[in-house]
Formats: sequence, structure tokens, C-alpha cells
Amino acid sequence: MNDKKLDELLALKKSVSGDFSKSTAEFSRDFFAQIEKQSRKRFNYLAWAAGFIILLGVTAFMLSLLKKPDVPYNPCAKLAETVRLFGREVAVIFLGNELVTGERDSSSLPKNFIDIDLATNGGELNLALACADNDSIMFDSPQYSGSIIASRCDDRTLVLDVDLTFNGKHLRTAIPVIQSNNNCYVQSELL
Amino acid sequence: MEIQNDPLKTVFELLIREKLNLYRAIAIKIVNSAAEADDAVQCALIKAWQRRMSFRSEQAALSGWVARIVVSESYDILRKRMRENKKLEGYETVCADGENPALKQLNQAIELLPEFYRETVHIAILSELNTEAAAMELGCSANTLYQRIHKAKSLLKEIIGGLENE
Repeated sequence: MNDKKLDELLALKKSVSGDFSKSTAEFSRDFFAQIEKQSRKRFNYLAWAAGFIILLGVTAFMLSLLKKPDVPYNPCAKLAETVRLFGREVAVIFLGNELVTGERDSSSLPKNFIDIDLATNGGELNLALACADNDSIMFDSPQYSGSIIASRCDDRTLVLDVDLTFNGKHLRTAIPVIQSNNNCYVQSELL
Repeated sequence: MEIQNDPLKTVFELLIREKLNLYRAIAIKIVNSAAEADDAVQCALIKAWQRRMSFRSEQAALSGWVARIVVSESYDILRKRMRENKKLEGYETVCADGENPALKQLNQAIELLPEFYRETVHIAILSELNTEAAAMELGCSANTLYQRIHKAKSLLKEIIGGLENE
């Protein structure tokens, strides 16, 4: 093909025209109507998405309310239940998480529930036990052995004489405990 | 922001008023249908609207960008129509360029050009714009555009020569 022929063809193609039914004003109006429609569509998508997220949030909140409420840890309740299971003749002691049983001297109901932390070389060791007002407890398990003597000082105060051997260590201490509520006793701050 | 309050609404209104005929002329030479030409132009303008923030400081570039997108959208519509026609048995593609085989060949050759030169053919050669005005639309100097036109025509002759030999 030569240049002349190509130019003739291009001129022929250039002459193609169309009969457009819409005027410029109509085209402009339709264009902005289309833009408006798309904008509303986008807004609707966003509104739906936001609504869905809010609904999810509300549903999650409602489900969280249905969850069983956490039962707070109550050492006194634990001790009372353990005494009930083992009977009044058996001494029940919790050292850390380990239940140790032993012998009681007193025949009275062990109605005092004590929960304290013993200071040891390796850190604190929780001691929880049930005892009578004046009681002598002896225990001997593979991990813990010793004795605890409880003496009542006054209406609200007891003193524990603790003689404890565990992990090759020996602990001997006297700890005053004070009534916190009902039959529960906690460590007393010595003045 | 509501469209009524968009500061670029006026820019687009002016663009449509001044350039619609140019865009239509570009599109119709590709799709050969007034309705489809308007579809191509509207698609191009919608794309430009969606990117209007990037043209806020370069409004002069907006018109040329739309013209190039009109070319691209028109070819998309043309190809889509050809695909749909192929699915129909016994239906022959009718082109408004009639049964002129030379024009059909020219159309094929233009479509086979690289995009850059295809745009040059439609905006600088086949449209109503003179070379200086087309150069402004395409954002280049007139001298540069003359060279592009020369190159585009060389490529067309090559492609048509190849098609004739098939």
C-alpha cells in the first residue's frame, strides 16, 4: 500500500459520522444522574456494611451476657466442703494446691477457716486449713510434714504455731490471724 | 460530598459542553453506532469523574485523558460486540464501513496498532482536530505529534501489507 492510497482510506474513514439522538444538555444531565446513582449505591453498600458490623457487635455483646458468670474463688467454701467430705476427725490442709490430710487433737467441729501465705525462701506458699479454736494438727505426706497448733486469743484472733518441713526445708513460725468475715480468717498485721 | 456541591462539577459540565462532539466523533469511527459511541463516552467520563481529585490541579490534562479513554472504551465495546456476534450462528458482522474490503482491512490494521499509536490515529488523524489542537489534547508539541503520525502511518502500511499477504 502506498501513502496516497492510505491517506484516501483514512479520509474515507474520517467521513464516518453518526446521528446522535441526545443533545449535549441531555447527555450532561444523564451523565450526572448516573454519577448520582453510583454515589447512592456506594453509600448504600457502606450503610449496609456499617449496619452489619453494628449488628455483629450487638450480637457479640448479647452473647457475652449469656456466658456463665465467673464464680469467684472462695477458700472458705472450699475448706468447708472438704471438711464435710472428710468428716470432723480428719484435719484438712491445703498447701499450695495440694490437699494434705492429718490428725486433729480437738474433737470440736473445725469451724475456723484460715487462708494465709507463708513466706519461704522460695517465695510464698499458700496455707489454708480448717481448725477448732484450740486445736493441734499433725500431718505427714510425701511432700509436706509437720504440725500446726491453733490457739484462740480473743473473739476475732487466733495464733497459729506452724512447724513445717517440705522440699528439704524447715519452716517454724507463729502467725496471728484475724477474722475477716463469718468463720474466715486471714493474716493479721502485727502492730 | 454531594455532587451538587462538588467544585469539579462545573469543570465536567464545561468539558461535556466543549468536547462532547470530539469524543463522539472519536468513538463513532470505532464502534460505528451512535448509541454505543455515547456509551463509550459516558464510561470514559465516569472513569474521569472517579479520578477527578487527581485532575484537580491538572485540569488541562483531563480532556486529553478522557479522549484516550474514549478510544479504549470504544474498542472494548467493539470487541464485546464481536464476541457476542460470534456466538450467533450464521450471523455476519455488519460494519457501517459497508462491504468495502479495504476499509475493513484498515479497521483491522488500526486495531492491531500498539495502543499509543492507535490513540494517535483516532485523536490526531481521524478526528476533526487539526494537528496543533490534537497536540494540545495529547499533551505534546506539534512537532512530536507530526512524528507520531508519520510513525503510525508507517506501521499501518506494514500491517496492511501483512494482511494482504495472508
